[in-house]
Amino acid sequence: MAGVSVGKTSKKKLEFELNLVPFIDILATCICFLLMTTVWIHLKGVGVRQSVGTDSPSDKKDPASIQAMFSPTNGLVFSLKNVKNKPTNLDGIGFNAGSAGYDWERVEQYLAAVKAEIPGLEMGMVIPKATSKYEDIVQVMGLLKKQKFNEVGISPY
Amino acid sequence: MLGTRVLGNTLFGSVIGNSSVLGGKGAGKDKKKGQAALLLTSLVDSFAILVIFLMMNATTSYNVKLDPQINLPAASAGHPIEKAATLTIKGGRYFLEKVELGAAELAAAIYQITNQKVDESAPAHIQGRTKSLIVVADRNMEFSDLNNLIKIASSAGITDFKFAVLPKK
Repeated sequence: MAGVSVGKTSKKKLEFELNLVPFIDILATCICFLLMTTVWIHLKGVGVRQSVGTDSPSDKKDPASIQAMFSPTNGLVFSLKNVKNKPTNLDGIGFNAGSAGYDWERVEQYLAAVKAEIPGLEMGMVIPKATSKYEDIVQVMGLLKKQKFNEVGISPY
Repeated sequence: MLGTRVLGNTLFGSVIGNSSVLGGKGAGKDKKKGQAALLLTSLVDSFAILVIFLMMNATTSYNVKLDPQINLPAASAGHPIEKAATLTIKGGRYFLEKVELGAAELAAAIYQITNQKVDESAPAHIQGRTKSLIVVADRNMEFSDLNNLIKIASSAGITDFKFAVLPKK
């Protein structure tokens, strides 16, 4: 049984209607505003610190660093400078640019191996040539930053 | 039973309740009028999800206005860009805040724009600048163009360069 009513009882029907049209208008306005102001492409920045005059990015004299040199013949050559007990298997490693460009995965693996072998190595220097592509230079800097080489610089000619 | 269902209440309640099918005064004259009520709940749900998605996509980092002719390079690592002066290199020409400058006047302009103190009278787009430079250049540009810029900017006292890149997944 739905219920027991004793005597006369008046049941009030409570009907509540929510008007959704103004709410939809507000949501549509919010969507239009956000569509016009949202940023679809999130840019990032690869930061580089350059020394000016007699300033040096590092306080140490002749700091240990890894240098990435762009060579027109050998491609991209990495060498370790001023590193104590530097591993010979990680020094002077070159990567040639194929038809599709450099194999950046191998470069990243190499940098990870260097960082694992020499955790205190923080400085990286990129030495491009005049004809080096900007994209390759930025890629090398990005990979150095990714492997926690925090002091990255570019050497102008 | 039909009256207790949601579908029946919204679509057919008024028609079945009001129309006369067998006999009556309106027999043969009244045509069934179909009234359709739109279910707004699902529309509100989709709009709310869309608003939440767009709000989550909002960013508080500095938005660099790009030239559509420039294809930015991609990099594996990058940091959000802070507000700073933007220098665009296009076809060997330098544009500091969209104003083309020659090499001779570039150093002075960079120094002025990066060392200007925060002043309420200064234009809004140069207030609160850090002493760094955002470099926007095409991925196929050669280093020779960037080399000149690094030398000029260094002479103006710029030590921090932020190269705008697209995040590489």
